[in-house]
Amino acid sequence: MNTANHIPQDDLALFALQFLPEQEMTEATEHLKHCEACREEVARYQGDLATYAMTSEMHSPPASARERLLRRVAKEKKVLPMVPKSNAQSADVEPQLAPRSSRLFEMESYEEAGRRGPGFMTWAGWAIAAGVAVVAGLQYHQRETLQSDLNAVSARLTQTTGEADHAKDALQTLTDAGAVQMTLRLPVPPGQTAVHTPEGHAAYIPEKGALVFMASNLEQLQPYKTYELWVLPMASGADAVPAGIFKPDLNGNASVVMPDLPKGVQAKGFAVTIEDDGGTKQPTLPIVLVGM
Amino acid sequence: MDRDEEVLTIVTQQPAHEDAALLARIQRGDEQAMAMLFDRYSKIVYSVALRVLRDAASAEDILQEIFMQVWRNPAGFVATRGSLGGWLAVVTRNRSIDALRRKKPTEQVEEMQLAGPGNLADESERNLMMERARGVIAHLPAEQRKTLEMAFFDGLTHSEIAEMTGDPLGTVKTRIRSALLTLRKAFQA
Repeated sequence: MNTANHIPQDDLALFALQFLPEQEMTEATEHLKHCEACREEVARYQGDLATYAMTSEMHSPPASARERLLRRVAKEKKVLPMVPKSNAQSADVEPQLAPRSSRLFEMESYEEAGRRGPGFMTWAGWAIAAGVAVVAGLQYHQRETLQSDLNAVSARLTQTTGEADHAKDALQTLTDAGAVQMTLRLPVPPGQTAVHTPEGHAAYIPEKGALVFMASNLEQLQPYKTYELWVLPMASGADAVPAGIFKPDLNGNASVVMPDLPKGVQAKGFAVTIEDDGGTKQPTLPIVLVGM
Repeated sequence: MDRDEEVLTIVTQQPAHEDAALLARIQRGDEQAMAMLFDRYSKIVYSVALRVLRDAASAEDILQEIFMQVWRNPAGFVATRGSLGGWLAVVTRNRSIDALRRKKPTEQVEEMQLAGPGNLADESERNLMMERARGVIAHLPAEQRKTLEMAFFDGLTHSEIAEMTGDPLGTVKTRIRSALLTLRKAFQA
């Protein structure tokens, strides 16, 4: 493949599927920058792939997914573009330079001012010089303040990045399918057979709605079934709160880390049920794990 | 253009305009617009991710990732470049395959252009399209159907498919393209 000739049709389809080997991908990308015909053909293949994607069986996401997304969206408020600095500054600084009612804006032409004699020109010159000095001073002060703010933000960012990396590592250790996970138990005496029953451990901070749940020895489920974790509220009559769905890995281990939960729900316990894939809002029997 | 054509044009373009309007509101930080976009397209995104990953939790992660990407960079999903729904479907598939292979996302969303596949914003039209696409796929020769499925949903490269099936590499490539062209022709007819 080269950039002088068009990309073969078979390769255009593979490009759309992102299957070209790295070298050919790079060459194709370069060619597409300059070849409208090939770009249009790739766009058509992308359209075909989108149509093909529609042949998937449609499933609604769990109801909690919407809330989770909107909470994240609310957390990441947009910072709208600011008014250009020059405009904002001129609006702010102008009154300090000279109010519109001041004599600076009432200055007549040089000739007219000259007719009034040198005294006025001298004072006007001093006034302009003073104004320039005030502006320069203000700008220096502003620059210093901004620099100071920038340093503080930069320091906070460095600290937050470090904390985020640490938290990310911890989270990855908990959830990564490749992480070694082991449950420690009393050693089995010689001659006896170990019985491994399903078990789970939940750590929960009600005030933050923060929950980490880890389970082991879970049985594998039928396709399109899932385990679902529930918070059982302390308040009498309150409905169980869905706290995430999960499936065990091949070793029967599973975890739910920081699901979306309302804050302040005091828990008297936790339970796990088996539900249809995608989860449900109301638990169905039987309960496969419970802790009160 | 007579009146009927004019009405038809307005009707068929309206959802695209609505998508563009929603994206513009999202650009301004309108959370309500984001909720509307989620309601419109979350089912497509989740379903494609679930089909590829076969795991509800992982599919939801992809769902969150895709919509947060729209929130952070709505300009990357300019509706005038094609159907937003179709775009989301393909981006979801690519992200899911990346997740399956534990790869970093390879594609720049902003760079992907897409022709078709029609109006996915409207649920009834979307359902019609799904039925039609399923019908076309069901009538494909079995080898083409299987090869496209392995490539698109299972994320197997043409080389991997050739190795697994024992078919020549060129045959696998041609089958993928032929299947896509059959699908395209059916929708152009």
